[in-house]
Amino acid sequence: MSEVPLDTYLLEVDEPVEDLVEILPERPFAPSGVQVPAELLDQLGPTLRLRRTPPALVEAGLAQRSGALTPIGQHLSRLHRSPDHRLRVDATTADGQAGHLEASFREGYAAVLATPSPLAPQPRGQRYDVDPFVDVVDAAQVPGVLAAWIGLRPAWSLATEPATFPRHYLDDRLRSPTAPPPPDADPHLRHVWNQTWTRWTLRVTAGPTVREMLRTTRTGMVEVRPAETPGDIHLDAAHSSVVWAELIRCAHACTL
Amino acid sequence: MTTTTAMPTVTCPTTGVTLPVPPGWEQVDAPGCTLALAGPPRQAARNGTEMRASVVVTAHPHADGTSTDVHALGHAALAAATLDPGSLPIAYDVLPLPRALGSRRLIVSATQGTLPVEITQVLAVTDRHALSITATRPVGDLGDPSATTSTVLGGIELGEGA
Repeated sequence: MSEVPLDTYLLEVDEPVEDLVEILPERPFAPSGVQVPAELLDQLGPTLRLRRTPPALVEAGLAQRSGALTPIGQHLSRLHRSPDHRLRVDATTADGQAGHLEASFREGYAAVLATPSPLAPQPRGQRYDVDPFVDVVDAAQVPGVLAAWIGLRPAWSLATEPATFPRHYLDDRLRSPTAPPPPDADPHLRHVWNQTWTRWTLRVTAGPTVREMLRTTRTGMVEVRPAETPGDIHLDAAHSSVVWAELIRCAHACTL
Repeated sequence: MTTTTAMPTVTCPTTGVTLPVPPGWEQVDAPGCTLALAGPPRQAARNGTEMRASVVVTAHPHADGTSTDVHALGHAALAAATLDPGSLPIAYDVLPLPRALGSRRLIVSATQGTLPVEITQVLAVTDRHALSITATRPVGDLGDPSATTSTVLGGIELGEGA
């Protein structure tokens, strides 16, 4: 008999599958690049128009003491100020702490600006009052960075019922973990409802897409879409392979 | 190699695993693998680096009187995927495969050198073997409809000898 831990909820419904939360530890987001105050990034023009070069830019290797940008500073400036497309993910913790990742694409490269991630925080408490990290990467690396930032990981997705219900149930639940699900929720939806949630959105300038998603601890990603009836929403499991393919598709669209 | 009306296929005589061979792909030698296919070279990064997508089959016969548990096979693959800090396990699910006693699919985001790659591992327990069919392709190539590791993995057949 296998000694591999099995998912307790799915075992109860006669689906003996591995307990992925037990097997796979959470992976905190590990940023790459240099930390730069966000307000200084917006001042990175072809020539710095400042009386004094900010030491933070010099320390980050983006500018020389004379004020001229370094080659990497020039590259970052072009990407940040004049991208062909941008892609942005925003996330908010249950207690209101916000973070974001923005990728600015141009000529096959991307400037990635990332705050600490509410979706993949440090295990002993994440500080959010820190300068963002900025890095210049090959555009092909962006899906992997995005996946790490949104805490994408294997999970057992569940098809839930009802598929459509009034939005206020979701909004109440986002405000309070004790808010109840719709009264006709099936056991799978109640199981999803009982997880820890973190809401995130994805916006891409290379298309009209705005995706609203929830990251749940045991049941993976869940997508929220407006329903035909005003005030109603569709709540659908988004298997992590589908989310991964969507991240790749969005990043690829930003390079065209 | 045999030919069907749809796509040529190749069958591993050791394991009975049959894979389709998409246009431009070929069977290659790979140490430790019972069967290996490689796609055409493609540019995988802005700096011009080329990479060939690949699919390799490895098989471990069951010890006498025992059979590998698919949970244990999946657990081992998940554990291995976390060893490299540059690898990120992305997805894991049950992938039904005819003739398999149990099967799983694991998707991992990783790097080879400096290239970002997607590794998809199909794991299957059969009467005689614990099988791993591993596809690797550059992430930078995934938007291209001619990227065909999914075609190969979608056409896996396990023969009676598996």
